Amino acid sequence: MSSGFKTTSQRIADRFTFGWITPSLISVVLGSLVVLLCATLAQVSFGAYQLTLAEAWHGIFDPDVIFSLEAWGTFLLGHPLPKWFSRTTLVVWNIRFPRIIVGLLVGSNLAVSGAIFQAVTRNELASPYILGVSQGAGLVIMLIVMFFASLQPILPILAAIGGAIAFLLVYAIAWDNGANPIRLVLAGVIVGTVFGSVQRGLFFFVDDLGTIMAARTWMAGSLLGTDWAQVRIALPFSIISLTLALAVSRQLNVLLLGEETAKTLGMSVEKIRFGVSAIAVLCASAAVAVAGLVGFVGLIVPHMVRTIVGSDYKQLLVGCLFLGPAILVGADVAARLALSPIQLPVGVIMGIFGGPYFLYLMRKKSNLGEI
Amino acid sequence: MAQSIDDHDTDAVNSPETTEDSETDIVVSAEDLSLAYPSSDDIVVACDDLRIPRGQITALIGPNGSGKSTLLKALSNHLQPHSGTVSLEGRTVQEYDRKEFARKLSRLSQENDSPGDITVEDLVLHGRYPYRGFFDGVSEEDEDAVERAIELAGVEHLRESSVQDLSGGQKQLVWTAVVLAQETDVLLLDEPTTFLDLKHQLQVMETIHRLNEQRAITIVVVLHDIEQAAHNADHLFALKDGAIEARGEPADVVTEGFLKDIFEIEADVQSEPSLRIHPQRPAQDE
Repeated sequence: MSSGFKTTSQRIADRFTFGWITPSLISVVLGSLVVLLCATLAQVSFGAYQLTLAEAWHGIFDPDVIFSLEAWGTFLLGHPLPKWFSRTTLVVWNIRFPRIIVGLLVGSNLAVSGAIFQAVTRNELASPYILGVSQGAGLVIMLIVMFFASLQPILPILAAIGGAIAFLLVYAIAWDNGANPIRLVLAGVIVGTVFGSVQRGLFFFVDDLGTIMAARTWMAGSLLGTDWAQVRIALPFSIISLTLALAVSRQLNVLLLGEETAKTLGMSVEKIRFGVSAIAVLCASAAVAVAGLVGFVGLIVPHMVRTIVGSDYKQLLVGCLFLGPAILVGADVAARLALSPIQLPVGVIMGIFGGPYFLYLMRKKSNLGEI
Repeated sequence: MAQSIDDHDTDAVNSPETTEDSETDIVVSAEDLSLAYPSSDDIVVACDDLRIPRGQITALIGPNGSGKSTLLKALSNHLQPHSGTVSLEGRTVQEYDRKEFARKLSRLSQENDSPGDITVEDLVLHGRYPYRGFFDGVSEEDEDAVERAIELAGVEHLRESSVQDLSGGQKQLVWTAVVLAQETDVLLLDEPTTFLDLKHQLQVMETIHRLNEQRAITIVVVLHDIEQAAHNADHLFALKDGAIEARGEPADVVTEGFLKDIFEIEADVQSEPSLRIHPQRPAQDE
């Protein structure tokens, strides 16, 4: 009897320690990696300076660059370019590859942010874009880009403040003895529209045409012209916010049980909700700071992952970390190459495909939005 | 089994000796309590004095809307009293840290919600929330507690099932297992049998008795069925319009006059061989 109990308890231990690595999660991760690799190769080889796929492959996996401290000093710390960089290396590593890294960070941040907001609001329709967080962050970024350029290095933090204000506003407007999903979405759309209008209004206070063009591209959500400077802005905040997000996955699971149960289990629901929302706002802001307003990633990716791996947040967030980049980088390839030589903003592609997906969700779910 | 509860809670005073002295040993109490919901100022429940004896099964009964569930919410610190205090083991419930409180008292609410695809085992593990630090993994104690809870609630065979595949009765038992995994000294249950078929009603009541006898857990249960309450509880509180109108042992409380006053029904009460209620008709308004 006691040995029987031992094996049961051992089995539980294994289940709780490794059980979350399920075949479905592995397939999401592997599938995403394949998409990501193909997108990367396409992105790196095509363009004004054409490379063959083999050249692109060797360019990316060039050990002389990958294992060179000097090269990484250039990329991550902004040191001057090493003189030994060949032309191919320059094109691959200094022009095309950073765009992919930025796409990776933006995709994972937006997906994780959406997943967290969905747990906080217990609403499958929640995402940083729909809740107005992106626009709140965007307004601050626009102000900085136009008027306070010296504050650029701490852009994500300031953007997060804007995003947080927008989220609190949305929550306050939607609150009526609890925040129901539909009210939240409506409030988010309203706050987002107002913030968006103010952003567009700002255009008329700027004379410099270059700034206006940059701001316009940015508002559409684009990775055009992103390089290592953007990586340097987004990377530290992404590492912090994504690590925190994974660390709170169990709290998110308990939030899914509802406020009353979470309280009974001893959770300080308001504090935890506030804390995880802050993480989600930071994620979204880091993304918005470098890529502008890319919609629907935070909505679609968590939904796709949830359909495959289920509602457990540990699996869901890990899945989002992989599928988010795959979708965003893939969409960016389409945005850059589909109508070449015209480069569309990736936000346009996400909107064109994301909108119908949102409609499909609306039609399919009988009780709209509830997880 | 009771031993292992004390391992977690060094200051638990839950030994069999103290349960003997039930008249004076009060575990949960409320004084000058008045309760209102945040959205309005209407007082829903008012009671001067409520004492829950340790180690016993106490049932709250009363007609619909009499404030039973509201009272239970206040006892479990889900509802801030409009005035007055609720105390657990001598300290007001607000003084407790949330997790510390959740290690001493748990409440099973009437309706529970969870993602459909979660397995029973994973759901029961959430019952260990108050024992785990922010970043803690699953300890051996947690595993053992989950194991005990699943066994006590009698849901071993459902362990691997998804919650969405369970019947209403099975879900109720599984949620019972969740609060059992909290390993508290006090357990509040809000109408645990109301929506269940007879078999599951009996199963739930059996589990309640097992907990009370084997682990000396104090139980406060809201019951809809007066007869069920009378059969299972050591102690009854009857509420009407937010006030406690009667209290005491079932045999003393449940009388024909009582049923007329509280529930507004004409009924015959038969006390031998066991308490039986034969409802006749709604009482006439005078």
